[in-house]
Formats: sequence, structure tokens, C-alpha cells
Amino acid sequence: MNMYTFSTSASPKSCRLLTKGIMGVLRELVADEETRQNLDLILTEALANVVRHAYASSVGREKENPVEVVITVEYGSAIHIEVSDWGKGFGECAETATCPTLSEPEEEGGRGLYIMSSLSDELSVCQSDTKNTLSMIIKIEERKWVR
Amino acid sequence: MGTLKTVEQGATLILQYSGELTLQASAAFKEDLNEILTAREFDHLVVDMSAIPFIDSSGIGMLVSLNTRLKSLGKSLFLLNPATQAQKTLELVQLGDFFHILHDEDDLLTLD
Repeated sequence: MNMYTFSTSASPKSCRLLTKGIMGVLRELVADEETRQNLDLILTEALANVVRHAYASSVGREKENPVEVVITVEYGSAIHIEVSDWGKGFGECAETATCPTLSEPEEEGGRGLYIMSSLSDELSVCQSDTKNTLSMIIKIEERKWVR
Repeated sequence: MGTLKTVEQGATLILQYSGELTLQASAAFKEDLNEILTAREFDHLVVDMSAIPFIDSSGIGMLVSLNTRLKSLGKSLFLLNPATQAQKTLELVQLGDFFHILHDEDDLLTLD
């Protein structure tokens, strides 16, 4: 297994740039275009979640808001994604975060977790005193990897 | 960041957005939209999505919000030619039938 660690401050721009950087690495490993699009969307949603919710009360102080992404690659089998922040955790929502329901069509928000849950095989939330981690496992068939 | 152009076709205003429609683009996109919606006269608004290679839930939320706003003004929103990732993502969140999606520019001629 290979592990890659990425980090940045949680602003919309830096988080999208970080995702593109991670996708640059994953493009060398995953050949299937649809799988890569799904990984891109999962990462974008997870990082947007940190910006919008974990650090929602500290807009304008992005440099103080770290976000870390750890990618663990089980070549030919699965990719594990862990996104950690040190902001406001899921709190009482932690339990429902792992099996989110889809918002009503007219609602502007409430689709990020549903997307991540739908596109991953496992999703879990872990909270310590100060660190919150959203973990996902995405299984990828052997034929979809770069040979 | 994306670029936004407008084309008038009778009572239809076409927004040609080029770029990713994500949380990063949301502030600028909303600002541009506000200016357009307050300054322009139209019955139908068409968002040409053929040059949007990537959309996330924030981008979809913006389209939902735009749809609600137009509805309250008695106007209608159409999405034109969503690129593959956008179409799949709209279907993933079960909005494929919620929006009026046009897959052919000729369909614009049917709007009155």
C-alpha cells in the first residue's frame, strides 16, 4: 500500500486546487475515466464540506483553517480517502452522516454527503477532541487501473 | 475561473458559461447572474452547459436556486446540452427530471 498526504488551508480556491493536485497523482494510477471523475467529485465534495461547514464560522481566516487529505492506495483493489479538519465536527449529525438522505429537489443544499456516500463503498466519520475525519473507501476493479 | 456570455434569441436569454461550476466559482457566478437577472428582459433563461466540464453539489445548488428565483418571477429555466459529468451528477442527485433539459440547440426554436 502506498500513502500520500496532502494539506492546505480551507478556502474554496485552495481546496479545489488541492483536489486537482491529488487527481494529478491518481491519474497515474487509475485508467478508467468515469472512476477518475467520481474520485474528483468525492474529493471536491469532501473538501467543500470542510469549507462550508467545519470552518463556516471563520470565513476570512482561511489560513488558520487547515485541511489534510490522506490517500491510501491498494493498487488493483481500492483507494482510501481520509479528509481531516480541526473545525466544528459533525456533532450530533455524525450518525446520520454515514447514511445521508437526499434533500428535496427545491432545496439548494444537502447533496454533498449523499454524493460521497453514493460514490463510495464505505463512509465513516471519526471525531477526536479536536480532529474530525471523514473516511471513504472506493473499491476499483483491477481492469480499471493503469497497467 | 469561468467566463459567462449572454446571447439573446427572441424572448429567450442564453447564458453560455465556460468553466467548472463549483463552490470556488459560486460567488462570481451568483454576482454575474444577479446583474443579468436585474438588467435583462426575457421569458426563458437557457443555461448552455456544454462547456461546463465539472459540476459539484454547490454548482447544482446554484442551478436549483436560479430555478426557484425564475419560477417566482414567472419565468422558466432550461439547461442545454449538459456535458457528461454534469448529466451524470444531475442524475445521481435525482434532478435529471426536475430540470427542463434540452439536448439539441434546435429545441431552442420550440420555446415561445
